[in-house]
Amino acid sequence: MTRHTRLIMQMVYWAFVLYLFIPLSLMVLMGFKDSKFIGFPIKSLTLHWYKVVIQDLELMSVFAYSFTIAISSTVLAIIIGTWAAMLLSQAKFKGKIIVFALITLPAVLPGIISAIALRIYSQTLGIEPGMTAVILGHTVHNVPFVTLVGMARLNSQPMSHVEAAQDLGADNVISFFRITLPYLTPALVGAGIFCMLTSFDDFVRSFFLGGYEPTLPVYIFSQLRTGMSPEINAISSVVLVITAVMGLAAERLMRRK
Amino acid sequence: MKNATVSLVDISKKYGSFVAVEKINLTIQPGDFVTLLGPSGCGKSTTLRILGGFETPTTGQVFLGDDDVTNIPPNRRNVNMVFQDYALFPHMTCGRNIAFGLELKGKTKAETEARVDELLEFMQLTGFKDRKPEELSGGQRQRVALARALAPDPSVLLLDEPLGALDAKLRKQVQIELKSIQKRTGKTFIFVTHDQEEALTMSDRVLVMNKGRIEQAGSPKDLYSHPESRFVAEFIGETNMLECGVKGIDGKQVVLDWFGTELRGDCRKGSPTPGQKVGAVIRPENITCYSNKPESSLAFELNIDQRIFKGSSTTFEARSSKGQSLTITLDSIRADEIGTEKMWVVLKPEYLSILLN
Ligand SMILES: Nc1ncnc2c1ncn2[C@@H]1O[C@H](COP(=O)(O)OP(=O)(O)O)[C@@H](O)[C@H]1O
Ligand SMILES: [Mg+2]
Repeated sequence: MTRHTRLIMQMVYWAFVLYLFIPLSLMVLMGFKDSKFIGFPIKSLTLHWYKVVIQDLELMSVFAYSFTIAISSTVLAIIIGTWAAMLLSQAKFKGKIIVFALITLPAVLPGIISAIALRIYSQTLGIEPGMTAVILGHTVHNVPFVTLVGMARLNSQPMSHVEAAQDLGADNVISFFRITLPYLTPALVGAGIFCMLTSFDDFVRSFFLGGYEPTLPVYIFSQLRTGMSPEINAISSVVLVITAVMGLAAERLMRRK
Repeated sequence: MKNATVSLVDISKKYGSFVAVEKINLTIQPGDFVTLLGPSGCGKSTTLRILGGFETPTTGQVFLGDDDVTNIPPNRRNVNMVFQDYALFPHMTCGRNIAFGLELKGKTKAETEARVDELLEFMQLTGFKDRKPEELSGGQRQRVALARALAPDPSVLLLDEPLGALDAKLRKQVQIELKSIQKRTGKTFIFVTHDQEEALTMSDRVLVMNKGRIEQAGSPKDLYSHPESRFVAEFIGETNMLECGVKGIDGKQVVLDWFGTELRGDCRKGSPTPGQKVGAVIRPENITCYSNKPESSLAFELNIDQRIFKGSSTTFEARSSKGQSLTITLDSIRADEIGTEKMWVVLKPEYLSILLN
């Protein structure tokens, strides 16, 4: 590579970084603005909007609602996904490839399509729009992710570990809980954090499957329609920090050997 | 647990149409150190895994003492295995690893702890109880794996190339250690290796395998001195393989023609007929050398091509008048008496084995 092309590459790179981070920085900055309107000029800074966020009871209950949904759908997705991963990577049966395709399909379906499908399906089952429907919708979306991460981790587990456990007297159940599950744990924790983030972040499914109570993204969306104040920026900044930290942690856990 | 005789009766294992192990019959006496020796892919691991219960034989039966255990799964067989990669559980300390089998046998906490401590001491691992496997050296891991397999007091211990991951120097040391552990515990060890030197060093009995069959079984000395097939002769130790024709039979001895030179030897397996092509093997150190023509009808002369000094011994690469080469090993003191150009040798009949296959 000549110096010339390297210089251009670097400029493109930095332009890309700026493109990504300027909107984020502006959003965070506006959350500290001492005025009711979002936009320049900024005359002075304040923590006022963060106080408003903390004292906003409605907002807190929306947070709690989203959090409950994220936790529940993640726990379900981990149980089902781990079971599917064990089945797909160890058992031998006919039609395995079809089961694999069906389990991973929700990961690649467009959100709007699966949201509509889930809405129709849950109504046929008699599940009213609301928390249960949202949790189930998020679970279906998250299972493929847990399954794939789990299968990748299982593939790297030496066969001899399970055989050694059996050799020492363990049956399948004991060797799963005492040997395989601890081996899977870091990957499952990582996958779990990602599941929580996707659930927390999801709009389309929550919108279609939710009842009167909004999840956080749905709530923010409804607030936007009635006019923006820097409170939105404060909420978003809090979410940004939490998700960034969790995302990085998850990425590390899943990459761990 | 009392040691039991292990028997394999007519064991075969097929993967699809590929035969990995064919018609194995063997009986292993309690307390023996027995080695399955053979080149990679000859079916050693498969045989061992059939003993451990990890593979079901296509035909045949496995007996432990008087019990037919052919269809008993590994977790209910009183046999333990040391894996090639040790298979220590990475999330457990050494102590927990060793305790694993004891806990599953329903031992009390106190019994388990006592046994773990006893084994740690026996393996000279005291002080490593609370370390994770990743914090140990290769040799220490190997000992933890051994302690873990010995902990439930199995009647037989299976070891699948457990020294493969160690470097050459440590390997030699661990070979001796392992043999002494086997002696002290009095357990039956069934050991798998592709390293003939390792097999000879450690075993009471060696089973040489080739292409899924047992070629020959015997003590290390027996196999070394009296190989019964070309495969065994060439796989174990260094050897001279002489292509001969059978001239005739003289009492117990077979008279051979080796490119015009007359040789005599024993045939322990099969009966050669005159005119048949056979192989005659003799170990380099069993060739008798002279600086001058000795009084023997079997003596012949060799030209020395190379003389390689190896410290206590010296190896000669020499050639007969017909251009056939021989490798000869002598004590270096004896080698000094031999000239630089030529030597005389006698291949004594008792050292020459005749192989029909
Ligand atoms: N699960 C299996 N499926 C198909 N072939 C196998 C399987 N396990 C072993 N083999 C084949 O059986 C032969 C013997 O294998 P193995 O007993 O592992 O040999 P060794 O331990 O002597 O190197 C090899 O050719 C191997 O490829
Ligand atoms: Mg092997």
